Amino acid sequence: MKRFLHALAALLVFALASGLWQSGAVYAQKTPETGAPETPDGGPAIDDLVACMSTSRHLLVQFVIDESASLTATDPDDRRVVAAMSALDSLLTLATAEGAASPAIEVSFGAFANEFRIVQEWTKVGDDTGQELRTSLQGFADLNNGTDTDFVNALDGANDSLIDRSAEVTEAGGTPPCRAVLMFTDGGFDLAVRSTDEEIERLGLTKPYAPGIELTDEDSVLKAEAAGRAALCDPGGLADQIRRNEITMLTLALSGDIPRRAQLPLAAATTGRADDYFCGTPTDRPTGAYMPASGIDVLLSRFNEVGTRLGGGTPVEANSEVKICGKDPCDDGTLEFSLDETLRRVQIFALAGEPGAVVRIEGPSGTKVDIEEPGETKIGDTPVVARDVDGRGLTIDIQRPEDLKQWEGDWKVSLLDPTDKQKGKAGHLQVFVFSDISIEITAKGVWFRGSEAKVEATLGAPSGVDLSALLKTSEVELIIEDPVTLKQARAKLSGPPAGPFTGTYAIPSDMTTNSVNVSVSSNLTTTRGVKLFAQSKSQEVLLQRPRGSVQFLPPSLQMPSLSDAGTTTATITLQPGDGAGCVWFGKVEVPAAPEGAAPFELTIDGKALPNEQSCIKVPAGSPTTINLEVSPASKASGTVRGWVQVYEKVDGREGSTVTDLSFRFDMSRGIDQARRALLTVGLLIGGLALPMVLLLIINTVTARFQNLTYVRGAALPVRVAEGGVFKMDGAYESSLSLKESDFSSLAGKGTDRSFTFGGVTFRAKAARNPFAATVALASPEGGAEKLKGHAGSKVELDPGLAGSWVFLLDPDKTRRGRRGTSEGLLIAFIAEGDMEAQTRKMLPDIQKRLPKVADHLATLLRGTPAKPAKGSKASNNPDGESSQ
Amino acid sequence: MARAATRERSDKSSESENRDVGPPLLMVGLGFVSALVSFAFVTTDSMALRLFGYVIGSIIPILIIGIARRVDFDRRRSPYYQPKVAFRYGLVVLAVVAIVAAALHVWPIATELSS
Repeated sequence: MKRFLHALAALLVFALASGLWQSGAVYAQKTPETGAPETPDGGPAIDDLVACMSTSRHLLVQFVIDESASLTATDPDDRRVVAAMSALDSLLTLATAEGAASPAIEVSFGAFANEFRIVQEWTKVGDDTGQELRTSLQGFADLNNGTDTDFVNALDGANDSLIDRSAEVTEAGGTPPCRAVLMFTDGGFDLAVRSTDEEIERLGLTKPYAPGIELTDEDSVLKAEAAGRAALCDPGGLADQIRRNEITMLTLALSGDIPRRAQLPLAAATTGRADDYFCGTPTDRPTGAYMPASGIDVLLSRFNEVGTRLGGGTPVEANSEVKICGKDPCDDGTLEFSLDETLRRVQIFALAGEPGAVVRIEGPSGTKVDIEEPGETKIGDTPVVARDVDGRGLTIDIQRPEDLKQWEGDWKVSLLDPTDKQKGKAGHLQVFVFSDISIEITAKGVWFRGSEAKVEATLGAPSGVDLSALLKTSEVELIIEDPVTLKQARAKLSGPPAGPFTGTYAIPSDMTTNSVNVSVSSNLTTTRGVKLFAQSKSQEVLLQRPRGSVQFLPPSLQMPSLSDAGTTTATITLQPGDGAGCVWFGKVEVPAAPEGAAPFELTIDGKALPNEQSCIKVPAGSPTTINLEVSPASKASGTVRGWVQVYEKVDGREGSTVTDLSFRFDMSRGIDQARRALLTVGLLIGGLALPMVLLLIINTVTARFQNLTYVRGAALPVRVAEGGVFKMDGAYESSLSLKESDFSSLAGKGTDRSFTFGGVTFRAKAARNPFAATVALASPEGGAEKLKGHAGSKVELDPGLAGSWVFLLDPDKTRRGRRGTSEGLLIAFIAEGDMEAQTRKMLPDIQKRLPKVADHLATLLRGTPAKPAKGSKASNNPDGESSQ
Repeated sequence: MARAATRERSDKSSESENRDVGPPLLMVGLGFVSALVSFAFVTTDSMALRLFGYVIGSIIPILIIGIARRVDFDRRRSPYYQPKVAFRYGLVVLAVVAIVAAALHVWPIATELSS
């Protein structure tokens, strides 16, 4: 019995485990059916992106917007477009606020459903492109017919797009741009069954991450979805690639009715974890921000928040949901905030469910203003600019005036509806403040392994601002990042609230990296209680070996990007130590490499890296430069980050030191030139040659005479003399005329490809020119007499036959006749039906042209000796056309 | 049977007596429309639209040229055929336009497929 219970328990455990295990992660058992999963706060990820931007001054944002058909139900009024425009407006403000000193921001818009596609190529955000970008975003209102919500393909495409653009930017080396994906989706990962041939053709039968699984039934779809989750979240998978490529993910998910389980992969891919679901290799800090929106209004608020925070705005309160007041302000619909001279700008985001709401702002002096519509106004002397949000809300920018009395103090903002129609209903109100306070590292000394580094940081403020009177508390931290291990160390800096802040960092003696990235962050509280955050630019610091050693410059190698197969190069300067020395290389580690790029070959001036025996001599007194080349195995797309061990030894000193010299470059697949050339030729052949081949085939198949049953022919002996044509009846001659009795049907004379009439064989032949039609070749039965230039041996006429005529020269009679005359047979064809109408034009044509033709042939004939037993000669009008 | 067919042909012939027959200029016009519409897709970013532009810009006009010539030769059998100089030149210009359209579409398609 006990054994039975053990077996039963084991079976239950197995059943539970097998049901819950999906894509390398165990779903939480007690998660609610709907609602957003719990994810780490994405604030640090946004802060990191802002800090990156302050260093790089270049930001790439790839918008990735869902276009699945479910949007017709979840967002029937296309408010996602308004929301995305709000984010775009914030980026536009950021890109233009400081004029030429503003950071460069580029955006690209992509849509996804079953696959990812670029709708708007990379475009620099600016006043000149604002309208173009808005129009492009507006187009997303019509993009809601897609099938699948395949954000695995979408993220893969967005990753490639960012890397390709980044590689273009860093083509000549330099600081790479900061990179972010701004993704909007209204659903979980969802693939559809392809049930018809049309769906298979349109959507594809398989997915790149599940190549062997055909999406033709529910079971296969479930398997493909599991494969997709694995491709996204397995260690080394897409989520890890995105993080290795230093891309910040900002995901806005319309999560209202979406099952919580379905949201887990994307949420975890964004931040690293969602509930108990982990995605990719765990990280210390969140790698992105997952911002669920229970409804479309929250989404609008979130989009605005992303753009505003990237622009340096700090939200006064995290939650934006309020209740709309009636005619007068109420507690549930009012936000209070304090401003002082450390702040330069305030942005208020207000959104009601329906049009008609009013934003009331009350300044510190008690001045009130109601803002109902977009435009410019003032609160006292304080300039205010309001912009529309979806026709039912406003974003209001308030700039600090000259007179600080109208700025400093407590402010109130309320969302009202004077008609009381929306009173008590949900609305959104959010306040962002923008500070002028900055923090910079002002002294950091020289960093040696095993020594203590002294660092000083200073706050910056506009001239005339007395920070010591404005700041109540300051917490400043020094952040040291090892680019090799990516581990961070932190050290507190101390000082008075207004700074300067000083502190030390004990550099470990076993730290082997050649550089560290150093920055400071500060959390400040003003005397009015306003909380501010400031972070300095990240600075790369050379971490030197002990004094007297050979030193390597630069601290790290930011190499030019590779957009095709090839080699990227960086120059290293070897600075001699106390005497002559030697440098050689050890292991190469590339932990972050795009798929297909590894292994990498490192060379110096085209030769293998030297070892201890073949080391590079570094003479005393003068620096030595070497060129380090890195060659990937093949083309790939992504960021390569690695390091190479460099050893140095100075003559006369004991032992050597080892240093990890990090290198980094972007790779994009670029264009396969050979393939492009082949495709171009192939497509040109396909586009031009194939139709011609088709026409030739059509010509060959349809090379026929008209049905002989409908054609009649006449074979009349004629004499041509003195420019006239005469009909011969025995020895009598008369004027040429064509009578009904002269014609007989061609029926039974042959086939519609070949027939013989009047001693002439007629063959229908396909033209060699694909654009030409079938021609009829007429040649004398039994062969023609050889004349100069093969004249008269073969002539062409219209295969329509009706209306054509052929002249068959009789060589014997012509030779016997007097010079200037010729005799032969005139063959003429007409269609069944009225003869007169057909011969009306034919007769004059014969009379006009036949004499010249006959005279030409007769002249050639008389110049050629007669051959016994030879047949006659044929000719017709020289150009072979019918007389019509 | 032959007599019936002959009569039918005669009827058709008498119908056509009431109007002149010319080259299929409308068909050539459609070829031009097809080729010119394809130019609108030269700058598109959509691969599907590029392929569509390639087909309507090169393959269809060239097929139209061939078919139009065949139709023209058929019509020339009519005793009421009125030739038009514009037809022959129109075909040449259409062929040139189709070749240009093919080149313009082929390059970005090849680039897209090679990247």
